Amino acid sequence: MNKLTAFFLLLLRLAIGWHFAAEGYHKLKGYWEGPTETVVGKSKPFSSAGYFREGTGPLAKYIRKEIGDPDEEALALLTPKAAESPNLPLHARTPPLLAQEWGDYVRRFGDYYGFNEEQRKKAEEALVKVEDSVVRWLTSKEVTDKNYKATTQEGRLPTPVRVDEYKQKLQELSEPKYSHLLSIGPDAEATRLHNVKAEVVRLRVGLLNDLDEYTQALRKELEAIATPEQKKAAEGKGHPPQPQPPAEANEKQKWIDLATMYGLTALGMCLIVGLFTRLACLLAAGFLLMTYLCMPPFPWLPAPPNNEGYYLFVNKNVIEMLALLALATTASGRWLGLDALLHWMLFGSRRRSAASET
Amino acid sequence: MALDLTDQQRAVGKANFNRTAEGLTRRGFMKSLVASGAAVAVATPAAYYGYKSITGNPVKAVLIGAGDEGGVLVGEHNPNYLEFLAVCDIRPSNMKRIFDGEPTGLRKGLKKVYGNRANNIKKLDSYDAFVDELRKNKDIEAVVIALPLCMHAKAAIDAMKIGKERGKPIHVLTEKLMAWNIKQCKQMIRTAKECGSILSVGHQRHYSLLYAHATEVINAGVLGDIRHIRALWHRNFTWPFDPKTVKDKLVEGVPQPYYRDGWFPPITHVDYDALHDKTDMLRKYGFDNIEQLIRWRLYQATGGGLMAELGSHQLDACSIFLGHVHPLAVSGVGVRSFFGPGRNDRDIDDHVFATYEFPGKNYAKDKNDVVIVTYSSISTNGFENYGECVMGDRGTLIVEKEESVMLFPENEPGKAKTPPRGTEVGVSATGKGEPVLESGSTWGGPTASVTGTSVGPTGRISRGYTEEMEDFAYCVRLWDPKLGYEKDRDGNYKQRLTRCHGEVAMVDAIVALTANYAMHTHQRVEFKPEWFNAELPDVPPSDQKAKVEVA
Repeated sequence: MNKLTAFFLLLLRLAIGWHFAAEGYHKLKGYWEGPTETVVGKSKPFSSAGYFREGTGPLAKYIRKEIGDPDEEALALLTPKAAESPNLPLHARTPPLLAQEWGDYVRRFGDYYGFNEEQRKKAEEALVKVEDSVVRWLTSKEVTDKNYKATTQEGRLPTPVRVDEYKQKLQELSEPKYSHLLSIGPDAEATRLHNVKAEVVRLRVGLLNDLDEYTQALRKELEAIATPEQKKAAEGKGHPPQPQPPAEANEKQKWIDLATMYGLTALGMCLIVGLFTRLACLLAAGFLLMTYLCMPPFPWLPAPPNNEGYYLFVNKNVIEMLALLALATTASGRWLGLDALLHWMLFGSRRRSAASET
Repeated sequence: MALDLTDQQRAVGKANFNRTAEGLTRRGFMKSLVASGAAVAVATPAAYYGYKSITGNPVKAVLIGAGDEGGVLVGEHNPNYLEFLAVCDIRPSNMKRIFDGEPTGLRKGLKKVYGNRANNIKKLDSYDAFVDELRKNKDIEAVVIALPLCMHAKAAIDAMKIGKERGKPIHVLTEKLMAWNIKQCKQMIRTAKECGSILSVGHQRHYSLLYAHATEVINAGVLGDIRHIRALWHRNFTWPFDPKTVKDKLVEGVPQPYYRDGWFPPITHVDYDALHDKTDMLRKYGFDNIEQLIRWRLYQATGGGLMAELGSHQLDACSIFLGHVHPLAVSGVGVRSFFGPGRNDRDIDDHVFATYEFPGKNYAKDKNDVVIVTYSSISTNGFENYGECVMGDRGTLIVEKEESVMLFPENEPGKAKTPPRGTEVGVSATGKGEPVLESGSTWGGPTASVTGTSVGPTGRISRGYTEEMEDFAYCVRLWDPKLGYEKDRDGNYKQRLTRCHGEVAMVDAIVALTANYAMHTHQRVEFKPEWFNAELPDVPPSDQKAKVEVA
């Protein structure tokens, strides 16, 4: 091989290694620091949740099934049970997922503050009261409930109308119009889909924000039940319970995040120092393939936000992946790297001892 | 301020100010807004005050004094410029609050600002531990002092001296007022020069874009000749105190608040149990007992009263409005007419009224050209918003609550179509090219908000704390200890200093403390130029022997 070729291949390896390590370390630093809030702005530790949530590719769809699809979840929270009989009380129609979340929250809240029987009964009553009002909000054909401020512009429309529109936009997103693609071209279709996607997010966030008003109302009701003594006693126990989605999905999410942060850093370091170089190249390429499949630049899919440049089927991730695969075919780590040392320890010494025997 | 303005008139006043500032900028009378064609580029505070991002690591600092003001500084500092390695306070409740912060307001707390890194911040629970840390930890480059007033000089001078001993200067940013008396101010300035340390004082209005813009508009002359400024800060501390509002149990046997009063906080067991028997230690730092430590603002021996706490900021602003001049004389009345034994008792006055005589533009030629500045701070009525009202013969400028500026013209007889408060004005030029306010209906169209330039990323108007600490850190990074306080041929310091360094801040201390003296002795006191000269030993008659003397 031309020496210059080897030199640039080495540079390529170092550059990609640096890219991975820097990205990984940046994420890890945020994770170690935890959330911060300064005059300059707020920062949150890295989470891949948003990436997968907004991912358009086939892999993102699969992972969403594992960690929870935000749209499916939102619809589950916003769809009340059918009225089986006209006498059914309103709260009995609370969306099952919401009922489960809130029920769980009320239980944890009671445990945290050490509620007695009477208080638990009061808490159940408060739950029923808020459930009544949320079902009213979800089903009424007009905007009746003035108790809670509507936080979005759509808030002036009845909730079922908003949910229907949300569903309709989701439907639109899931069915790319191939006829459009052929007739009006990929660019126009991509723009249209991009807009629909933004619309879906806006509708979802708006509805969930309004729903949160009810969750917060529940929190306030519960806080009113706790006595000052109980509040004081609970002070040392860390943060009071928050209403949150089921824990299982969070666990998986956490695992994926940790693997991403440490994986990126480790792979980057391996590429820089030339340790297990071929394996690191393959794993890093695998990671890039994954990102590609989460947000592929296919013309019938909406372009991801913050996308600079224009990509058609091939994006920079693909190029970096191919570069890594090309590197994997070379013995780059033995040219310059710890692999040379490793190789010498495993094979070099044996060869020398074989030589000394003869 | 200007208590009879309607909302609509306020809106007109603010729009007038913005439009005027914009017009002045276009005509080259203001540097704050950079006009390029039709687009108006809005300057960032950093660009306006001439500092940049610091190169290298943030300046490593220790905070001593973690009370109300320390909490604000922690919440408002930018950790990219200034990073706290340690915090010192002898009150356990302060130590807890500086980390945990408050749910709302500026006091975010170290945990929120630094996230998990807050666990690495050292907690120092005594002054000795603080001194020890400065000696041992060579990484420390600066000290931020938010202690009670009587301790400012000692902490600042000790820190700077330790910096000199260890061969790497320790720079000081101390809260205002600079020191308890002027002798101490002069000692601090001298020590800074000897030790090659930067000494900066936290009069945050020096870094408020709002005040900077207001000053530029005044300097452009559109208000005409100024003969009077009225400044005030009125608060109402007469509402009964409700012990239920305090989470912790109150200590019995010590005076507890009778009225709700921010300066007379309740004493809880957290602090009392830790400190009440350490009177010897407290005496060493100027406090007779724990009460005096917690309510230091209320005692002449530990604080400086309303003039020092509130008045100094506003008189500072007035002297800047008038062109960085020193006042000629002060007289006033101060009374303690409301609080008393059993009712949030105190040493300091609860109503102060001071009248200052400042030199006008032509004072050098005409000794009658005097500007009267009145200042009042009272504790029993909070109807008016605090602020400053600058009255010129062609217009009035009102700065309110450090967050809005309004401008109103004086109407020329015969020309006025609307009463002045409803008149919209902009800037035009006279034949001589001087800008004047002119009313007219042609000023329509949206104005770029000048006040908006001081709005931070969180959407609030910066009062200057962030910029004051950023520039301090920037100066520390640029500082060459060898060059120190060398002056160039024109008598200016060669190195960059903060906008409110020791010599600037000493003026504010003289202005505030001399007013106290005039009120106590019921006389008119003339300011002497020697007092303002840090090189000379002369001090105002207000200077008394401090409890915490500095070697």
